[in-house]
Amino acid sequence: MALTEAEGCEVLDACFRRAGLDVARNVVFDERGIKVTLDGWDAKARVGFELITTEAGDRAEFTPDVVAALEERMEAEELFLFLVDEQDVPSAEVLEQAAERFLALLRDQGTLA
Amino acid sequence: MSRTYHTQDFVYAGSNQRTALRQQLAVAEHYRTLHHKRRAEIERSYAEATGELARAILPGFTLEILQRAAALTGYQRPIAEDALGAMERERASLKQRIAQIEADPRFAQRELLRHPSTGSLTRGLREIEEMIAPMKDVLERCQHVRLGRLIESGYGTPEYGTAFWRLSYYRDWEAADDILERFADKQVFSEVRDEYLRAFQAYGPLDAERARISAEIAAGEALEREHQARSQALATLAARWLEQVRRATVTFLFECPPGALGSRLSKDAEVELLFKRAAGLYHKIKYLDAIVQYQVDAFVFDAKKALAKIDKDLTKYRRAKHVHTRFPAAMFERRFRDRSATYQKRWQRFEKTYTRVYAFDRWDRAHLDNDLLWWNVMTDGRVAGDFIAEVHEFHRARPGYVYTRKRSDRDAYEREEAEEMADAAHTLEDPVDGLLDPS
Repeated sequence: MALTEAEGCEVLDACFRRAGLDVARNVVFDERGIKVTLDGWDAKARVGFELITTEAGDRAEFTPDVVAALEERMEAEELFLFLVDEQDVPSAEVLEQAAERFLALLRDQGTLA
Repeated sequence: MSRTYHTQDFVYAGSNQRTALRQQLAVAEHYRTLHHKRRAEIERSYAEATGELARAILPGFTLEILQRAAALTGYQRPIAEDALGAMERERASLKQRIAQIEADPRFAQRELLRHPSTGSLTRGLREIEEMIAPMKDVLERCQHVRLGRLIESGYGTPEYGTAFWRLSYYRDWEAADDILERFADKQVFSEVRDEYLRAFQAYGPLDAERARISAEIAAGEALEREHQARSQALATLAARWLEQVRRATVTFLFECPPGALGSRLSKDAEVELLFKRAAGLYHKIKYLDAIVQYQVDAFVFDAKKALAKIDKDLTKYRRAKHVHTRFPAAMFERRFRDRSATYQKRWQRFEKTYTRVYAFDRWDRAHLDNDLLWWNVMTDGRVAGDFIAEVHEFHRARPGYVYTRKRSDRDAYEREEAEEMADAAHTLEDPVDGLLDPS
């Protein structure tokens, strides 16, 4: 990854805030047997982001089972987490552009105002 | 009170000395240039002389000639190792391989197969390249770092399963848009995907066929080249063998002690004289190099050192703090004495030695025995040549040796020398007298 965990989170935090979300950082998410610490989370909108990096030890926490359980909740539109694997981030610009598109889709489907 | 010199005297005399040294360096440089030119000319003569010697010993390549050459020179190897037989074996091998190539359909039908416009392989290759071209174009336009992933994940089809909350979804989207932009006639990526897959599937077998035909053409062309090379080798076979044996024979003669050659070569006066000429020219080059090194190069080295010193001193004594320095007369006058006569004498000595060796062409004066020293022959033993390693070694190995002069009368020697030098002056592009003129 061209960015560190902290730099990537700063980019995402700024995008989500511009979209009107009240993002809290490093929030413990504990619902229906899923317990993880999210990099960014707006509990009221139930929208957040997670940058999965080896640097932060995320791979031990976000196991394939945990990710599958979270995706099941997203399929049911109970919450939305922008999941970013560090191996897929070549630059801050790419990350920012993708986050903007994600938030636009949420707006299109009425999840965000 | 003894006389002293002032700094302005030093600067004046030093400047004059510098000018004189530079003039002498120009003279030395002139001699060097002339020597390079003359050396090249002697090298050409030497090459001609060895060629003539070789041709005189071996006018052809027959058993009779080889036997006569062996008896004359003592060089037995071409007979002992059956050079003629080896040449015939090479001839047979070349002919066999040429026949093999000529029987090979890849060579025999070369026009049918590889004619630039009508050859079947040439045409086949052209057709395949024409067929491949549009597919290659599609494949090249689809080039993208994420193309493999887009195809595998089924991007643009219902099979694509990456959810929109994953970053890779957006990166796939961006990559697909990039590729789609290169196809003006396509609306969605799935159309590009279909065309890509069609091109990809058809390209593989066609490309393999193209590689097969190309390899067949290359193999045929290699056979043609081999046929040409071997035919050339066959055409030049006798000449090559003759040249090889001539070279080996001349090398042998040059490595032989003159004493061992004397009685053999005396049986053929022409060959003997040709050998003396070649050997003499070889030594002439060596001696002239040594003379220039000893009398010119060494001077240049010393003169440059002296120039550097005078430059340094001139810089020093031009400074204001040295304005009151005084130089004792003895030291000053010794350092800045007029050396023009010394220089003149040095160059005259150089020219005399150099020209004596350069102009020498009386090869018949050398006697092929173990006391043959070309330096003595060329100078009639009248010039000390111990600065040449070969001459030094000759005298070291023969303490008390005295060369018997061929011309005991010094006047006769000098008269003859003058005549030879005058002859050389007339036959040379740069007259010998020109040595004195550095302009």
